[in-house]
Amino acid sequence: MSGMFIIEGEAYPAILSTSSIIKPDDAAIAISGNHIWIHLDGRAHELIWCDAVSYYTAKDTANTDNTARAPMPGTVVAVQVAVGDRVKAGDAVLAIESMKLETRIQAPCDCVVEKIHFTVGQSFDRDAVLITFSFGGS
Amino acid sequence: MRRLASTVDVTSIAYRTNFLAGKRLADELCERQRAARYDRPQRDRERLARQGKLFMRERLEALLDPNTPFLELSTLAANMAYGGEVPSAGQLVGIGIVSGREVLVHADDASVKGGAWYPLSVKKIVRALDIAIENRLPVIHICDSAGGFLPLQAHFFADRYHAGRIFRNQSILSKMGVMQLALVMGHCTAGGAYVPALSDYNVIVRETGAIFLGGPPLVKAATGEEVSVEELGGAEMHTSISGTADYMASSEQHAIAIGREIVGTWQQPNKTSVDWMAPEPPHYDPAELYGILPEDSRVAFDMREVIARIVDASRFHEYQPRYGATLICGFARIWGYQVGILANNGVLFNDSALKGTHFIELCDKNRTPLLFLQNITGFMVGREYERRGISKDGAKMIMAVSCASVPKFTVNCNGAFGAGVYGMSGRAFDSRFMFSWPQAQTSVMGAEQAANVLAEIKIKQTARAGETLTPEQIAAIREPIFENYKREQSAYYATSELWDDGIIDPVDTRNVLGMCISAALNAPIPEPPHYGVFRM
Repeated sequence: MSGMFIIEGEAYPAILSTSSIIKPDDAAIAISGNHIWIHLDGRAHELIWCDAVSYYTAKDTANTDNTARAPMPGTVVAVQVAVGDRVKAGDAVLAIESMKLETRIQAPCDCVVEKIHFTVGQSFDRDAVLITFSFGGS
Repeated sequence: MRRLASTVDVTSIAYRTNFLAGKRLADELCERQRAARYDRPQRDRERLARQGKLFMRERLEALLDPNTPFLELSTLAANMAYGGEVPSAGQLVGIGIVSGREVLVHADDASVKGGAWYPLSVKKIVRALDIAIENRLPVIHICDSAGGFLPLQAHFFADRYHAGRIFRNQSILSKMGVMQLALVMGHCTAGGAYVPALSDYNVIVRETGAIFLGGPPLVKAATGEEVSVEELGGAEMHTSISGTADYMASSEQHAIAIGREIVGTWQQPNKTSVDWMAPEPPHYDPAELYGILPEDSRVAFDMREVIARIVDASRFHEYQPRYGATLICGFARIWGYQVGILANNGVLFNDSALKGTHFIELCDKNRTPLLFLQNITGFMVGREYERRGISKDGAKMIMAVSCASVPKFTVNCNGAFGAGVYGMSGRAFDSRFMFSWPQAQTSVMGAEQAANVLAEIKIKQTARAGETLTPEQIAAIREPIFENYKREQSAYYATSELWDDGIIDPVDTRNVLGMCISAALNAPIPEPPHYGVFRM
């Protein structure tokens, strides 16, 4: 497997192979999900595998959007959060109706609801900011 | 390639409610398929036994290689036609393995109206042979039909895609070098006589099998000649005198054994090579699809959650993730085969249509088969969007869908309405295979919208005549339209009319598509267009 291997908090780009280089009788390898343990010379080492794209995406904080925007023009049918609520990525925050479809608006990240820009019954254009979030801990 | 991260909460009330509803729909589908396959009037079963004939399902089982999968197509054809009396349109069609070769099986079902061909039976046979032509699949016909159902002849005889098309398609298959075998286990009368006659090989069962252009009653009426079935078109005569049939069998099992030996002599196809690697099951349980699809079809959901439960290891490379977000495009694998997926996450806007067009061109150049997952209410309407050229951009997507040279596969996951059906490779766009999930709907517009539009027209007409309609009168206009639309946009109606190749249980989607992709690769993929990929 290739990608980033996190060893004691530090990430290293590498390729892990169980063949040729180290003979299997020299090292015992256990894999559970993204966690890899290598037992070698009487010591166990833990590696956490992380896909390279996900690693660099997560590092890029400038890219994090702190708003939920309207995917299409429509009307608000339900508000599921209040200002100050702590939400997790993927939580439903708003239900909107547009083009015969009811759509669930989700929180983009783990954050706090800072401002709700529309109330039930109000309509909006595509790409309008529906909710602004903050990352501040409270 | 990255794994999709699911955000579905399988403990939530909404999920569990949806799950129960989805499971109920799947169970209902399973039961309706079972009934169409096995429930027959006692007298028909007894008649078969008296004639010494096997039930069509037993013939199929004897024909297929043991413990190999069989993908039955259009099991519920005609389920909403002819008062429900012609299950599966009296025909069995599917793709399976015989003597190690992928073949298409087409069998008349003599336990349904003596195997008579109804209009939808003919449509099903023609479609089966179209599948054989498009995918270069050898065909095994199991013939046992009373002939065309004469009272409805105007609906299956003379038109372009009517009965003649069966024989035209058989001829084209032969020209292409795609083998056909007919096992004659009952009467092949009139047009039906051409099915074995146009096959490269045929086997006829002594005493029960017969081939003739006109049966004994017709001969008597026409010329006064009295002749028995055996004398006129039996196995002895055809295999030793006329040469219409090749092999005589003493029983149906004997005929099947000869047939399997014949198929074993056919050359193994050189399959088209596409990018493939060892398959891995999805990381997320496909059964969770029941809980993801909302019970109320008007509620939106994230199609990535669906993709994560269909593709290998739930891995998906999303293309242009930040542009035209209402159409998800990207690469994944199904049973190891790389596919380009287009899935709707909302209405099609200008940018989503352009992204779809661009992605289709890209897949065509990369020789990657396309999978369309329909969940589409249509293209966006309104002044703003017309000014941006929504019709022009939709036309681009339809052009790309129509002209793509790689195989296309379509699944209607939830709904397909209006021009969205065209952009998402609906039936008219020659996807190699097309399936629906049980709750999926399709129509030119939603039932509610259609009822309102048509009621509105009526109100205006009466207003011009100086009358006003009472709310009761308006409801009396609206209701029947609404009910009729509801009925005709259901997956059961669509599959009854052969607008698809069958309704499938969502959890079977990956297996069904795997078999379809494998079948499709029997045919070469034509050259891509002689232009580069236009960035739209």
